[in-house]
Amino acid sequence: MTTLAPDAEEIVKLHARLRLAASTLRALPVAERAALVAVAAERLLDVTAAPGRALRYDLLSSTGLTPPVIEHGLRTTLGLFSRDALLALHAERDAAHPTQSMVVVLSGNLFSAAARPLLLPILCGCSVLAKASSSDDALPRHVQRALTNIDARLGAACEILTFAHTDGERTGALLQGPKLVSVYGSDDAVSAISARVQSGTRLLAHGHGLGAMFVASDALADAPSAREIAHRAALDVAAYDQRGCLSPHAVIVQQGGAVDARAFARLLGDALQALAQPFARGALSPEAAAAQMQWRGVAAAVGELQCASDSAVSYEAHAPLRVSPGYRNISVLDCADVSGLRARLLPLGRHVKALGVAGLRARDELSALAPYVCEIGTMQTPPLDAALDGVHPLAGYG
Amino acid sequence: MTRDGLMMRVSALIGRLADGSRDDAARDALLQDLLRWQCSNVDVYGRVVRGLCAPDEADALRFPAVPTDVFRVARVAAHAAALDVRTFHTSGTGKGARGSHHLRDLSLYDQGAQAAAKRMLFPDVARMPLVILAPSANEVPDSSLSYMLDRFATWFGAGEALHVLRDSQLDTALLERTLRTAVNTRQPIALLGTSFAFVHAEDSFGSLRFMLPSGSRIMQTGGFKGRSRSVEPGEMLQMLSARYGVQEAFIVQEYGMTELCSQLYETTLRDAALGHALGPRRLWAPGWVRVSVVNPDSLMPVPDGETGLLRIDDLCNVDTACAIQTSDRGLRVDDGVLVQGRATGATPRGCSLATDAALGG
Repeated sequence: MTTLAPDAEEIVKLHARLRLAASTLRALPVAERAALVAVAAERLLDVTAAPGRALRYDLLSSTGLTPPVIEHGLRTTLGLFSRDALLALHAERDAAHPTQSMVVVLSGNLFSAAARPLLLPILCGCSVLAKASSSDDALPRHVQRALTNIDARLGAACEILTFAHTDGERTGALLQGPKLVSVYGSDDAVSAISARVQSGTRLLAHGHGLGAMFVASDALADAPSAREIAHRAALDVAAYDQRGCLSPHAVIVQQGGAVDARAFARLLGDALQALAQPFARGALSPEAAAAQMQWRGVAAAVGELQCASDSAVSYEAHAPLRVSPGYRNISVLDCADVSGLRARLLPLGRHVKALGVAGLRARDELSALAPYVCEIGTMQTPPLDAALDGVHPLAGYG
Repeated sequence: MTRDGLMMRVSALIGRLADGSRDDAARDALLQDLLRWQCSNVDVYGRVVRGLCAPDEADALRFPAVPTDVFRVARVAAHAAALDVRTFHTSGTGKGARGSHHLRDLSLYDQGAQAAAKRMLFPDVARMPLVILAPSANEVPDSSLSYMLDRFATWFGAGEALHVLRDSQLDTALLERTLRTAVNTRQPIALLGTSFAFVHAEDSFGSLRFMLPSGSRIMQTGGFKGRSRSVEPGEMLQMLSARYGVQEAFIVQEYGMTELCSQLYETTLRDAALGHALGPRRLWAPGWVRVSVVNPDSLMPVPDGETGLLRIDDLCNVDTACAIQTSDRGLRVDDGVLVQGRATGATPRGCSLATDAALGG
């Protein structure tokens, strides 16, 4: 475990420095803050510039993802932070109770999940003290560096700490004082932080989750349409190697289309296989590989498995939904209608964070199934203003 | 190729290799035939083979093995349920359904278990008193361990075997009396049981120590999944040796699984009992079992010395699936394997939810 953080006493002093930095930040017009944040994102995106190259180098070792998958994640995340988009988002904010400084806890997330919680507070004139994951702090540290290089006033309003979650002393100091704490992590991580925040502090919890897809029968009118949906679905599965909280783990296909669920599973398998070269999957840990082996075995036993070297699709008809181990393993199931879809997703409860949909003109009733409902093919590329946990991205500090 | 023909060939091979000799070519030839037969006759196995690879009929040894989780969700058997003579279930200490192994015939189980135990646990004695820290098969008829230990009592026990674990309670007073008697009468005994039962005894005995007579031995098996306390293997060895006065070489692990009919044993007891030089502590597989260490992703064999997952091909599993893919990590050491724990509990590195957490919530 890496520790890159001052001791607890210094962390307490950091809070005071960051409050001062926020005052300086707020003195800047929002248009200037938006422009500077946009430049920081651009620099990190620029693969020809030193900051962009260094970021990619670090992400390669910290994430276990392959270069094209990292590139996709960077482009579809940092690429959203244009000046105009930031200003448009800022205009939507609820400025009734702006927050001066906040703490962000990033524990075990996809690398790109750090972009919003670090850059959006800066846009709003709120300083950030972030505890990065001790296993992957690459993006937070590069974001902080980029802000500093562009304008020292922005850099001073963003500090990154890296220490283990078991470090109680530093965690205590981190949570001492802020009025707002935003936590990204597993249910256990959220509970642990929640138990330690001081009374009067607002906690924004962004727990882990997963996604699912629904292909309505009207979207499967013919083979070309089905193939096109399968291609888009494969992109959602392959992005981040299916390790994100929006990553789909099952495709639920409504009966009655010209292409049935079994045939759709084959198309999805083909589409995933086609991505194997240009969008290669990263290496698996022994634990992940073992989980994959068991999942695939069960899929073959209870359904039909289409297996390639680094992806697999199972068709399991009416079998209960099984959560895949990720890493591009996904099951395809049948359902009769939206009620059937609801029943399928029921065991996952509140953990369903995203529902990708193809077809179905009337989608109102789907919004109850997941906080983020979108077209298949866009599950992993939510817009800047997406309410990913059911709340506006500036909620709490805007 | 018929089922009866395969049964006879396996039985003959066990008979020939019961003395510990090896004939890997004969084993592999028989495995090829059995794997092909099971691919056609065990529906689930055929599905697994077709799902996980494009089978090369010419080399059935490369057919995929059945992952252990499959036994939780499907009946893996060539025969109808009406022909089951025994069904063993996994312990159910993990989440989800218990795995089931449906046996049509126990003759190969018995023949293999007796031969392996004779060689590895009782190479120096015909019979001795057995003290069993596990429930009896009458109490838990679906436990393969209890079945095996009850058979040991018949084959190797002197007098009636003593079960000190009854109704899920370890009778520590009875165990203490038995141990004192063994010490006082200088009668070597065999303590056989689950690792967790030994830990439970350890926690109960406090400062009590025993110096069991020379020739006494301990066989422990199983892990600590779902238990409130776990002990590392090295620590366990020292703990048992200190508690019971049994030299470490005479304390061995048995590696068995509900899904297998055969067992693997650590080598030290046999080597020490027969005065052989002790090699590194490792698990020995009998000649009718093929243990491979495979890459967890490709499931292809790894070079010697590399860690991977254990795949076990057990010829005694004629009516079910002889090729079992475990999630146990291990590596080859000399002529055996070293198990390094289980590769489970993976949480995807990202913010996707672990499977258990998702369905638990």
